[in-house]
Amino acid sequence: MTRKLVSLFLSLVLVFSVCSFASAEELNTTDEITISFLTWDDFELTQALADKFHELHPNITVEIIQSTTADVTATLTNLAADNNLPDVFFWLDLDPLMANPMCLDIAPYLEADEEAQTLLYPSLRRVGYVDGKRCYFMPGEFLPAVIYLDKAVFDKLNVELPSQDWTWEQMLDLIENMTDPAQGIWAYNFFMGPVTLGPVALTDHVLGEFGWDGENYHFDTGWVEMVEKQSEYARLGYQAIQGSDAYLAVVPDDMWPGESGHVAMQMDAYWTMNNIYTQTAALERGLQMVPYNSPLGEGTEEAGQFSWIDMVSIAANTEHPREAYEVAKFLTWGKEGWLARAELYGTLTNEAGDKIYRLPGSLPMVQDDDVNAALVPLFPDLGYWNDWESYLANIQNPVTFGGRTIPGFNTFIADYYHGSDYNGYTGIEAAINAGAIDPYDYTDSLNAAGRSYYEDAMKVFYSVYGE
Amino acid sequence: MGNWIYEKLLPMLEYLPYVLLFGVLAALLITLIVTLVRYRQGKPVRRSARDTLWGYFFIMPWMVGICIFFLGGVANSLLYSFYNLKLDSGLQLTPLTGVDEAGNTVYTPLANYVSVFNKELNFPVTLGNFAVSLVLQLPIIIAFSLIIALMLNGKIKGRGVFRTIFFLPVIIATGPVMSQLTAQGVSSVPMVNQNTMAVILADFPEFISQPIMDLFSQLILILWNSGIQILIFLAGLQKVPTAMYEAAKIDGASGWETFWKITLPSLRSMILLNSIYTVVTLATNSTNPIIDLIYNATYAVTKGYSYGAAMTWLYTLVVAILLLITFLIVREKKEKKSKDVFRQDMEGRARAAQSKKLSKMMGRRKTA
Repeated sequence: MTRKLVSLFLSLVLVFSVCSFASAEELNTTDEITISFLTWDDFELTQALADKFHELHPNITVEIIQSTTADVTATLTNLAADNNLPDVFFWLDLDPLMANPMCLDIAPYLEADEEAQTLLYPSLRRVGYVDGKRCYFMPGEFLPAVIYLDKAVFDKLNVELPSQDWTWEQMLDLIENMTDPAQGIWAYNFFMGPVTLGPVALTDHVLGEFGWDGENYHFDTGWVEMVEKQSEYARLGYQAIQGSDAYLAVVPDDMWPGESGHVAMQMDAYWTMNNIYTQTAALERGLQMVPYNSPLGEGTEEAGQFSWIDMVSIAANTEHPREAYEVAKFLTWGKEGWLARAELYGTLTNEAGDKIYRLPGSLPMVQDDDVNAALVPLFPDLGYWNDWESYLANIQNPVTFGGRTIPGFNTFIADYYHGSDYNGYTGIEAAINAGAIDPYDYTDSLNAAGRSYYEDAMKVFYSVYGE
Repeated sequence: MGNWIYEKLLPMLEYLPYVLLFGVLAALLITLIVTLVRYRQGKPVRRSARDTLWGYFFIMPWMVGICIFFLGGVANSLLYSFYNLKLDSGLQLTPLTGVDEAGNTVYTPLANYVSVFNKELNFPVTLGNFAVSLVLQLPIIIAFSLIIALMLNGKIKGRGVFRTIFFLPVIIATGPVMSQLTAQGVSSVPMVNQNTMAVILADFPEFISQPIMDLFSQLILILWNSGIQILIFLAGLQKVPTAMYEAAKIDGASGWETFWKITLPSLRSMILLNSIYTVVTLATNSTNPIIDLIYNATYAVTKGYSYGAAMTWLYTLVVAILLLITFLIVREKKEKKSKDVFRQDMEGRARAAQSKKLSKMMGRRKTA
């Protein structure tokens, strides 16, 4: 009996010592290692973040491999063909990664990471779970869709600006009532329109375009209404259409409507604030653009806001998965990394000594007061508006392009949605715009076709990554 | 059969670029040795042989480069189209297999090509659209560049500046610059209203209306792409002997007649060269929707690299057929050449005038 107890005791000691050794080995390697990181983000910023990471973990060096959005897919293909994938890499299209075993399942790291489970926006926490169990990517950079309301135009029409927590229905109401041909004012213009933003804003627990919930699309009343309304708004003259006779009569130089001062609302992207609306030329023209988040539908509980989100993965054959995860987290969404990033946004200067960032280059993917507090002072006071705190507080559940999150999405859109024949028209939106079909008649077939493309893609995924 | 293809035939493709490189070098070396031997033996070396040799010598760096860096990729893409290619710790090629009627597993090297026809419903339509747009764009580019070349060949002030201006888009309007300009709507003529065009063409079938719409929406772009063609025509125009024009002038030919009887026939080979160049440029242009289609298929989860390679080769075949048709239409026909009496007459007179001039000069020298 004593021998049995002693052997049991020894076995337990052995097991615990092995476990503790393994976890210490995983979390705190003291070996000098290098983690390669492929990105197209600003080089100075990424390098500075990599240096910060090195300061915190002196034995880990982060080697930055610079690419561009135009080249990244080909670059990754070449590196993978040469069996030389970077440990961490940004990418643009999900499909090639699903068809080739290039990515590591990071679910164990993400699920064990309290910060990921509590601070990441719910939609971003779930987005990389391709088959619901295994996670192959996480968010890398977040640039939300922004709806800019021109305060000057609102004042001219004597309409009050809505509050920052406005709803989708309020936005549609404004689009339908803000056009004033007598004053040469159009209600809106868009880069990404209601068809793209609407189904995301009107569907609960959404993870992707067209109401994708992780298994199915939701081509339902939300999509039908938006596709009809977008078409109707153009027809009724609510939308400023560059090059049209009506537009040229008011803006003879055919300037981009979003910059013309004749549009009440510009549905656009975060970077337009830096590139155009805070520039002297726009301010001198009298533009007073106030940024709003894409509003959510009334009564929704966890609908989404359409955004540009670049994803990041860890190479399947990395020798240091744990360290690669930490590097990826610090340089992309992690709170610690974001506090460092906020400091860099405020201090990085170019060779001439001028500040590189007039406002943060991208926005955080974590809901955290400390990060928001560090960011708010970095935004410029526009004079006519300065409520950046409310703007940041109203970011919820960012959702991005289907091509980055839904297996088979690109093929479905290219071949079926935009590529099939609909009553003599190529593409369903073209047919709806021409009044050739009733979108209600096509919701079931779109949902079924979308599901079918997804299933075909998942068959390939399972054959590559295993069941 | 499939087994033999995978085991014997396809692995040979890897050696294709080296075989070609070796062939080119060997041909050049043999020609060089033969020429040198004849020269040393005091035998006359034909001028055309010498010219050919020099020609090959000058394009040698390009030929070596293309054999090493380009043909390797081309041969590989052909190889990949007969396999299933995956990126799993490097390149992994798996032979394509299927099941025959008896239920046996058989090799199916052409499966990707068959899939393109079965799956890619838009491919034949897009190819058709490309062929129609080619028929519309090719004459416009050739005619435009010829007119501009004729104007730039004249004695006008600031000729060099104008030549630079017309060639500049070839250098600056590439890649991202072109994408930005197209995105900002500079590719279409502002006066040609797209909506009006759409109304006019509404009653036509899509395969006709779409290429015409595309033509008008990219008119500026097309004209911008004419820089190289202008340059080639200019080179051709400068090779036409001025004595021919002088002889025609003496015979009372008008400018219009001179153009049709001397200039245009003299530029026939240049028209052929430009036509082939334009077909290739349009076929490989980044704005060509087929390139997009192939790119999307290459990176699609259910299609992949091998499938994309098969599509590329099918497209190459179609472009090769289009090139052949262009060649047959534009080439210099021998029988027609002999009927070109006016030009031959002018050439004869010009030659006679030149030799007369020459003998006069020689005579003067002798007397001196």
